[in-house]
Amino acid sequence: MAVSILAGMTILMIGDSHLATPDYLISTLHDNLVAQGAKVHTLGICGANAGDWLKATPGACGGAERRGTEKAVVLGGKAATVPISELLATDKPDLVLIVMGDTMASYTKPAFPKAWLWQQTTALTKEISANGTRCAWVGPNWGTEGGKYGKTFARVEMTSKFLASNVAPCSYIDSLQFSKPGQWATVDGQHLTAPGYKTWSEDISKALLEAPAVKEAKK
Amino acid sequence: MIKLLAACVAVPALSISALASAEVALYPTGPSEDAAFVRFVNASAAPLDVIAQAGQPPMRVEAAQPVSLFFPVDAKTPVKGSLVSAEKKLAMDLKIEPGEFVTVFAVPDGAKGIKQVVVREQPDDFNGLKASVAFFNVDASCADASLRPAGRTADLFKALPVESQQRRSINPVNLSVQLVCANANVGAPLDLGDLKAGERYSVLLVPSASGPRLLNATDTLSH
Repeated sequence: MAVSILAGMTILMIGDSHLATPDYLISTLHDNLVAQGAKVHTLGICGANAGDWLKATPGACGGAERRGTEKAVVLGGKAATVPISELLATDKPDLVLIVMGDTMASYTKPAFPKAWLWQQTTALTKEISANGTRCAWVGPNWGTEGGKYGKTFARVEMTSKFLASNVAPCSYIDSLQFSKPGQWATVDGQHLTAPGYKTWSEDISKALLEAPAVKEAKK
Repeated sequence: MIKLLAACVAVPALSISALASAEVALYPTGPSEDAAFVRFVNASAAPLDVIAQAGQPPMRVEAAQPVSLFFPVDAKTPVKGSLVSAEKKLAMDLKIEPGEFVTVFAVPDGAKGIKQVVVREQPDDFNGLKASVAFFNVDASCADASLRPAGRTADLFKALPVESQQRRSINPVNLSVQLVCANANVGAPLDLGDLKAGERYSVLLVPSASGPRLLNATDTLSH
């Protein structure tokens, strides 16, 4: 088996609820990256949006953290983001992998909050790029329509398009390309079932290997 | 002022609950309404003080650094206060809509001291791969106010009405712009330098004692 381009790379993975429950991406994607030889630190804070990573912000619904091959630690009520500046200083990652989108889509609001989204995304990406660190941003998957978050295919597509054109210099990984709308089953419209998270992880991992941020970080 | 503006920042209501392993607790998927911002431009020769409430320290906008940052505001709450320049005082009472970026100019107005001009923008062109350049015109003395890349004949912005703005996405290149009034070059070109992808820029045409004057600023948000 060929050595992965990720081998030896230090990866900091931050994001929202998709990383905040032990059997979500903090398990499947984290394992996948570790198996490729990366040193991985994952911090998922439920409900976090991009701007919440500029200063310590309590999670809306818990969180989880995991380092290397250790088990994920559920943070419960104490869950809070750690400022990206601190994480960059302590982890010194070669790559920051951001998994976020559903927490910023405003699924239940008729108006799409472009100015707020721009404020949120650029605040985070500027802080990372000012540190000279490469980054890749994983956008939301299709999920299923409805559920308690009121997700719609139209709004998730709008959110993904916005992120695709606004997270530079981070590379954008468009999760909508990985499946058809509604193809992956969810438990609540947004969060996938176990097979879904496994498939999503594999697709993210494949896309990451082709991402300019990873290829440039490896040079 | 900054304190007051910060207090007006919209804070999304959060539903707090412990994390369940089987089902994630409900959380908000965005703000209750879009963000909104205001900034101040001092086109007068004297310092401009922006006062949110009597007794609060003013935010000063110096004539030498005439464009403030964009401050986040709560679109639900009017932005009230006053603009003070050389002992002349103007009341300010603005309703800012969600998604709006509002620029408040204090421009010279003869014996009256200063005049307040408000230009509103609801941008729809956010793009991290392009540079975004806006042209603001609050100088009625410049007829058919236009901007051209220096040394070129094609207009970047053509005949912009007074008290309005236009914006264009362009490739991130080195850019100098030439002000054109009534189809004649006015003043020297303004060097904007190497534009960066994802950045938003403003070129602001304001009146002055010596005629039309161009200011430039990067549209930077206050955090």
